[in-house]
Amino acid sequence: MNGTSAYRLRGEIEGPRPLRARDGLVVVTGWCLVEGDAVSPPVRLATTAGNLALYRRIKRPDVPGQPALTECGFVIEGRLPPGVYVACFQAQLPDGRWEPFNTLSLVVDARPFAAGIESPSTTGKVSRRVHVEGWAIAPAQPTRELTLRYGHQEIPCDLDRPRADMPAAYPEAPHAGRSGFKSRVILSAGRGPLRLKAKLADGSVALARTSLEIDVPTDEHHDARIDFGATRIPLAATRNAALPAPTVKTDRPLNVLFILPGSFASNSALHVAALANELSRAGHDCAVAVAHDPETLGHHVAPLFRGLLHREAASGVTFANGRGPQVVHAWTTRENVRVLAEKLRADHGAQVVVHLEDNEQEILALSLGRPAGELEKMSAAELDRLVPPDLSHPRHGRDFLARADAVTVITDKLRELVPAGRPCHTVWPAADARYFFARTRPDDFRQTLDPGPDASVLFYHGNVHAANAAEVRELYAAVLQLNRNGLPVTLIRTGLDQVDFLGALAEEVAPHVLSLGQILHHHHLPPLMALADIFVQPGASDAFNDYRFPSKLPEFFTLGRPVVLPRTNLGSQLRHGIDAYVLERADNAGIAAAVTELRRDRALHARLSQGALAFAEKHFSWPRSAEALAKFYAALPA
Amino acid sequence: MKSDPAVPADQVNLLRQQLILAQVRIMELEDGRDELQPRLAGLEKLLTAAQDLTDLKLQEAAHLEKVRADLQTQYEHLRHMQHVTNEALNASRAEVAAHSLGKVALLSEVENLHTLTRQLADTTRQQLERISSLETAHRAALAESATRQERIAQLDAEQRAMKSSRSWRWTAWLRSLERVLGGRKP
Repeated sequence: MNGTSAYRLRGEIEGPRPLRARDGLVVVTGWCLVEGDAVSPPVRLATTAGNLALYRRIKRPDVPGQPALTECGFVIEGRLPPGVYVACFQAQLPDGRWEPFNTLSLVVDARPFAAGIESPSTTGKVSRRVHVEGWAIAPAQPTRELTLRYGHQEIPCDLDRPRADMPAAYPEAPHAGRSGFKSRVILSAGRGPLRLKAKLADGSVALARTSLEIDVPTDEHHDARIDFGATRIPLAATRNAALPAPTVKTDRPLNVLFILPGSFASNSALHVAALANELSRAGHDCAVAVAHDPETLGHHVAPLFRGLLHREAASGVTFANGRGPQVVHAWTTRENVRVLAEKLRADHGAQVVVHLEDNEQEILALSLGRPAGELEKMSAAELDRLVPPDLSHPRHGRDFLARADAVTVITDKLRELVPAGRPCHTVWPAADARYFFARTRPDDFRQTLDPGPDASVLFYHGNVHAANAAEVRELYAAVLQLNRNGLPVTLIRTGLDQVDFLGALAEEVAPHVLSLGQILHHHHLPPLMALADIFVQPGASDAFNDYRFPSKLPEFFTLGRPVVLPRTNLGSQLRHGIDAYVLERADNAGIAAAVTELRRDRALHARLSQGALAFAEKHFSWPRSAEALAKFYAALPA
Repeated sequence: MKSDPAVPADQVNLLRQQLILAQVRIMELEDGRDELQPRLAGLEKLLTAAQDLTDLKLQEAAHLEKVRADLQTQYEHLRHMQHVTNEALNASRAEVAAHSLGKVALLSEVENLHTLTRQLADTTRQQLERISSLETAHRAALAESATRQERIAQLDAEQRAMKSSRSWRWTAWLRSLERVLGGRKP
């Protein structure tokens, strides 16, 4: 590019294009000359954030057109604040004017968080249990917390230690003089490259790697037999390669609002999310209102619906087409759901569909610790006082159901509770086909679990609460019984214990139970479930079980393992020995007998594994359930 | 794994070892995430700044484009005006040429007229001379006419005197008879 004055200016920028200043340091090379002038002109880089002057000159014999060999090459070097600039390269003409000879864009990166270790050494391997010292600085802001990380260890550090040498290296950082640190404790057992993790003043997190390798073999908390260098055996976290075909798009899209009584972390939310996703894929617009913890929507992978709180929904729900909900699907008759659904019906004139998934009166009775019959006899005022918002009020719930435009049920037995003549549709739950599918057993990992060659693993996921405490206890008792009988069985358990259901059994059964706690992301469960040989749903026919459909059952079946379950709810529709191992009562004795038989009879195990898959293939599909539900919505009387 | 003498035989330790190794992997992934997040945030900021700069330049480009379009419009208008002016100039030139031709013709015509005028003047002079001679002749004719008028008046008086004479009246019957018989007017 050439200047346009009487002086003819020539020049070029030769740095790698586009111009990018890593770590905030701008370094640009190039050449510039005034034709016919034996003296190379001063050059500079002008930006809106300031100018950078010539740093160094270079002789450039390769540049043609020089009257004599001049130092027309140049280096411009300096720091600019992070940002994107229009960099104008200018040269000073013999008459004193600055004239541009090139203009380019320039990106300046922020100077990153950096750290250095000085004790016990700057590089190499550290096997001694010592303190670690050094410096760590984020130029833009002070560091609030600093931890050392290596292997599985995280060790906090004390900050604000004086460093006289750092201000020179970081003149732009006023806190550089106190960027020293020292680990609060000596190194613990662990192995891996040392990293420093900082929490900065604005709450952000930064990480710096070092060239130090920590390899402390043991300490007071780690048995010397644990090999930190052993190979990790991963659990496959693959996705299903054979997903169902995409849903057919509707030509009559609806605005559907689901109302959940809890958060997105509940089993009900799994059902609602799956249906809402499928309805959305079909072209409907869906939103889901929860009572609390809206951030739990993050537990779901790529939701296609909008999540909101009850209180937000109460002030009006507007969908993408600018209209309110046409269908409000109240998930249960629980008080907080009922109140919101009634309000939205009044506000938007929406049709209200009530979903039943449990015998709500039985759950209320179990939760309050009072018989259902006793609750029925209570006065309305007394019930109003007793029934919390997340349970169903016997009378308000019944009235709500009576006023509903339609009802959906999770199992046909619940139709007994539906008012006569009310449109009713059964929605069977399914399993998320992206993650729940036939998985082979990861035998490498199983070897770390199995105490012997004939060992078995059972898996049970879900919380233990007042309503199911007794039957889950039966499962634990069966596990203990089987081990006592000489059949080594490990129960992998996930979920929270909301009640103490084991009592004296806890200590005895503990060696045979691997409790993993709550798995927040439901799609993380299938790789763990694949470790199991048999799935067991404990329980028996009663006022609670007859009216429910345990949502884990479709997940059991889709994994392709024999399912042991009682002859109630889904169990009452299964063929024993073909679809599943159906027990009259899935109690301690029944479960122990079933597991013993399945371990002994490999053919039966294989047949029921296939039977489970076949049943799942035929009966459990969220796309099919959602399609049927959409047809039900569409057929509702206006 | 059990056949590997390097790993502990104790099942709990084996499982613990795997949990620790899983924790190691989790921390590695967390650190990877924590490394990427600020870089991503930095890139987001740069992207935003780049977008702002791009927007600014786009606005400048749009402004320059508008200026260019305005100039183009002005240029087109000026070209049109130039064309119109040329046309008018050509028309004027043609008109001037036509006028020049007309002028020549007029000059020729004027010359002709001058010739005609001269001829007319000659003719007029001749006519005036002729008129003068005719006037002289006319005056002579008028004098002769007056003379003759006097004679006519004299003759008329004589006729009237004759017709009022008794002899004329006494011979009237003879003139009537002549008219009946002769069929001739008197």
